[in-house]
Amino acid sequence: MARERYITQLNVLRDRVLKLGNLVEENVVRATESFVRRDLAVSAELIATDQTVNAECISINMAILQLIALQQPIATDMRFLAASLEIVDELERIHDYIKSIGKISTTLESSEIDALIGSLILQMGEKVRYMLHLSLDAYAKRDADLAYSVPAYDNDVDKLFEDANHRIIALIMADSTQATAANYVQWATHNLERSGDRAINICEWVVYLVTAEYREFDSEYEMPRP
Amino acid sequence: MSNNNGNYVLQAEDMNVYYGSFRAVKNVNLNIAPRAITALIGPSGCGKSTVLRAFNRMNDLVPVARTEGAVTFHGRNIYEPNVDPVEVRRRIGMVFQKPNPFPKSIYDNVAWGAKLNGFKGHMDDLVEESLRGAALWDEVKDKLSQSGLSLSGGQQQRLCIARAIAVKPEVILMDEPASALDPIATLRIEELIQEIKQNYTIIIVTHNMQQAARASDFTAFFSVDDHRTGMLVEFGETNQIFTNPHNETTEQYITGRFG
Repeated sequence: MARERYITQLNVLRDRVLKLGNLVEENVVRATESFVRRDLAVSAELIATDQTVNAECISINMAILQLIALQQPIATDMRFLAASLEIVDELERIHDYIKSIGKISTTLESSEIDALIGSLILQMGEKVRYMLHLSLDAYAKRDADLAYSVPAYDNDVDKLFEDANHRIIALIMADSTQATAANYVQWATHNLERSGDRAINICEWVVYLVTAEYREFDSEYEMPRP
Repeated sequence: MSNNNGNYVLQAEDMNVYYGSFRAVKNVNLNIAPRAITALIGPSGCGKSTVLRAFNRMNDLVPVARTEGAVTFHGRNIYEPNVDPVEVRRRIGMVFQKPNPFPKSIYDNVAWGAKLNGFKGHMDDLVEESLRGAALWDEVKDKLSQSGLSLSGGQQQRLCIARAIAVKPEVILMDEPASALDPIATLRIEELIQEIKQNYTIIIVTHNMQQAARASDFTAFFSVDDHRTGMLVEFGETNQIFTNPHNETTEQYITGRFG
């Protein structure tokens, strides 16, 4: 092989993206579990971790730009680096949502989370984690078919989001003094819903990486009419 | 022989080139679009320079070389017996890897070909027009009587391009025209090629893939088979070849996995 050092650099880069992705994947679940179980220590830890994630994202992006500048990648290599830049950006934004859930959790202090909403949030967290897992797997394996399979799971996330919203509105209507806290909880579910959309964005870039065509998947959450 | 569809200047049709009993390239079918830059790339020994030279019968100068199939220029096979190879080379000019100005003045370097072809017009005008066309006029207009060899490497190569365009060819073949030049001179040649493609059809052989990517509209990738015979593997728009090559061998070569 003519460019062994370069190929190794590409592989190292892929592994860094996957390692970052694994951390984000784990933290989605930690965010929802700590939120529902009111584990404020873990929530605080997730907020702090966001800085580390941001630093790693910048570091990976710089490594990608350096490879582009020094190695003039073309064809699949160029698409791989372009897709990796975008995927790292999506991971960074998902972790922003995780941090936001952590912040909401600490703001709510010792308030209990309604059991039904708690259950829906845990389910959303698990679904989003799974979507992210499949997206990263598709990236690692350069598997466009796998990437195409991910949006179907987003419908489940959207359904859970809607169920949570109904319950939140019902709680506010029953006791308006809960409105502020319920609004915060609604923000947390919104963050999860957006995280699912971001996992789909990752899949769009995997499809670009494999096929050289960027195609937007239909993942927009359609707000139900009042 | 005439099956030109009207859109191509040059067409190689089932072209095979032999050096003695060795088949250097096989079954090349390649269409060259007018007023565009076509790059021929591929590993050493893949036959890209042989293909380039077949386009204006330069291989005729190699005693053991033999070309089969057809190369049509506006639909006419340039290898037909009654075709004058000198006239072919006037209409399909060539610029070589190493700048090769004659040991004569800058003026005479440009005027020489036209004189040989019995040019009857105003020679001063032709020299100026050709040097302007090669983006060299401003640098040499005050020293036209100096030797062409007194110029820098990049200037000498532009002088050779001026010399080529002075005889008003339609096609200019370039065999690694910038490989002996420094990076700045290389970029100037690439810019120049972009400018002159408005008036000429250009085919360029290059070892520098980034140059093919930067400077060409179409790219033909050549490789070799198990007998070390060159063959055309993939041809397409340069943007497609360098972002999404359809052939695995092309992908492997341009990304540096082999070659």
